[in-house]
Amino acid sequence: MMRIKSPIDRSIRFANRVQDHIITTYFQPNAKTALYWSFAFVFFYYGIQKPAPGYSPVRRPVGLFVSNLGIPIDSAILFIGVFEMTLGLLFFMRKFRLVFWMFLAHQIVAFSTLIVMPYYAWQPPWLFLFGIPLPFKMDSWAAFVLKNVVFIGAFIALCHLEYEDRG
Amino acid sequence: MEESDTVNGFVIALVISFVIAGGFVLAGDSHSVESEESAFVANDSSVGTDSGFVDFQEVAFENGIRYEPQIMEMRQGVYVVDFDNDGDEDVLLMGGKNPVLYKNTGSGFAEHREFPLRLAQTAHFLDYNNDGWRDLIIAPVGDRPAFYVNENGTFERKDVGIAKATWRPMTINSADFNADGCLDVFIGQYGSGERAYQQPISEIRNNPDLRPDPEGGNENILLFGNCSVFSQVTEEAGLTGERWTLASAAVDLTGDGHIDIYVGNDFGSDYLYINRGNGTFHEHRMPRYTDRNAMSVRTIDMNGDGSLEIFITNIWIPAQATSTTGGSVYETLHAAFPYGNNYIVMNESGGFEDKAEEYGIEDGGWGWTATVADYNNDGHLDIVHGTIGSIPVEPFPKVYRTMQVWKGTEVGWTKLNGSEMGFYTENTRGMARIDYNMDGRLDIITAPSKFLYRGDTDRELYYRLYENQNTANQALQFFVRNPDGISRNANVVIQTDTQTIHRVVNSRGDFVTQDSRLVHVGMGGQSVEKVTIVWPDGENTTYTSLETGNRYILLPDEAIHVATLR
Repeated sequence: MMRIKSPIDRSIRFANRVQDHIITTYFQPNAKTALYWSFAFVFFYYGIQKPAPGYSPVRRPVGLFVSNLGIPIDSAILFIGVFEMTLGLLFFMRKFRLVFWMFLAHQIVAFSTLIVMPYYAWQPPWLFLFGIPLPFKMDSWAAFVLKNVVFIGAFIALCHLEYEDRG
Repeated sequence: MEESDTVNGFVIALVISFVIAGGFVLAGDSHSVESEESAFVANDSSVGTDSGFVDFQEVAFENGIRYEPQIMEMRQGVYVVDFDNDGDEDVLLMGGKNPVLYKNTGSGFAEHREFPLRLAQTAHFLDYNNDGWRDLIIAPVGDRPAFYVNENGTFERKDVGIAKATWRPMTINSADFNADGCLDVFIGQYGSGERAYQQPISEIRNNPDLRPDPEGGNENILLFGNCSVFSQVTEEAGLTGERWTLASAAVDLTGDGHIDIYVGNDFGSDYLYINRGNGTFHEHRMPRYTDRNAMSVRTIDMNGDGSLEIFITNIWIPAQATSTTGGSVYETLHAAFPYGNNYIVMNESGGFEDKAEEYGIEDGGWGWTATVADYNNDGHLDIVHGTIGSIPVEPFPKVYRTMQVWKGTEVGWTKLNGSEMGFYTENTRGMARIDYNMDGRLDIITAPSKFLYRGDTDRELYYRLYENQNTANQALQFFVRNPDGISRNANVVIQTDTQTIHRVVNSRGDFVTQDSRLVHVGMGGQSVEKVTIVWPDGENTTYTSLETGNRYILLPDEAIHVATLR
């Protein structure tokens, strides 16, 4: 017996077809390009901020991080700027072999600041677990860094697409 | 093939990045500072020079102090104490890898012990159990304070019931606030996390009124002791608010016999916690002119009338009207920090007045911890306070990049140029006076900070010991030790053949600093007739056998001669 479809069923079916069309026609073929260009935009634009005139908002955390290593702050800011711009351009040029290591290095350094500078990244109250103080409440620096987990997820997806293409 | 593509791509990307970054750097350096520098010459030369005052020579390494600051702003502190009761001054240094206690050996300093505490922020010596030995509390960032009991000069960690964690403790003072015969502890705290840091200068430029919320800091903590353990009484005692406290002083400012607490806040007005005498305080908000950037609080009796005045360091940026690019920045910064230090005196009607401008002691650059003492032994109190080596715009007059010095005179103070006295150009946080070699001339020990701006210093950063090179050593020095313990407040009246001098012996905690409890009186050609100690219980002891040029320990029933000042 043939089932008569309701208007709601037909609407959902139509919406799904539209969705499939958008994804398969526009998103899927361009997924890798979109990821590369998104990374390129973010890294290049953030990188160009560092040497640009004016007060860089990362000057203080970078200063706190590098001063103990004996690295001049201005040089460190410049290095990070050049590093990020280069990484952005390499993403744009799809130089996957290079961006893989540079991206990993960038994320390791970024996340290490949460441990090296807990007094800057976090704010009270901390949690006390068996008497050991553990950070819990984020300050804006921790929030700035922790959002990079999305970057890492996206980068893993990019790796998958890159290697899928390579067979 | 893939490898060469990768290398080529990397080279191209790197070259493009360098070209862009190099363009910005060159554009930034092209700002003409020549005219600005020359405009500031007038500012530098407008400060007086006085070769007859005091020169200092840095001698830390030669005397066994080799202590390096680590980055963590506002943690670099010095705490002067005679922990082993041998009559000379020892020093605890903090802000390096771990706090280190240096013992004065008589011919310099030797590392006595290290306190392995992560993120230690500030410390304070006090005799909490009235056994005659000064114990030690070290307050960290984000943990409970550590307490060390001093057993005949040896420190042992002990739980004394301090359960509350400190988040950003900047100043500690002790006094018998509730008059039960045991010392209590006040801990002043700053804001935590990223909000604890100064607003970026770029934001202040755009909005000179921009300041953090005055109530956005952390709560101050009051602990009452019973000579055995401490209990937290902050709320019961009436202390409220979450402020940006950097400095404090525990002293009877109202003259009613109860120890009050003056609290200097970086943002928002200062507060005077007036002791009601029953274990509670009235929070008195100080006038609007204290809503600056208090970083050090010192109480002094400049004119010898027996009532105390309050000296507070703040930030003061000179106006620069003649230059073009940097000038507008300076004018804006000057608009943000136009007033500088406070010198608060109590007038006849019981109100407060700020007389810093009248006495010419307000323009101290970006002030940090201060000392007020007679460095040239002429009988007048001089003022020396730290500053920062640079601010994040250039140029900055040289005179404001090093110690700020005012020579005390009969009628007030005269500003001198610290850069001509042997002081280094650098960021100084904690500092204290100390006569480490018992020569009758006060030396200065400072804790420089690694900071974040260019031009802070051109030297390797270590803690400094500035030895006083003055030739006049005519001074009287003594420690005051109470009958039951050594850390409680006492009032001292020194009668010379020409004047009466008042001093207060208190815990002398300040911003990441505890100044020496040594009473140093420059005699300036006078001779001492008698010294009277007014003990906390109101009893007096008068000493008539003290002689200039000597150091003593004054007990209620005797004066012990420690040394002749050489």
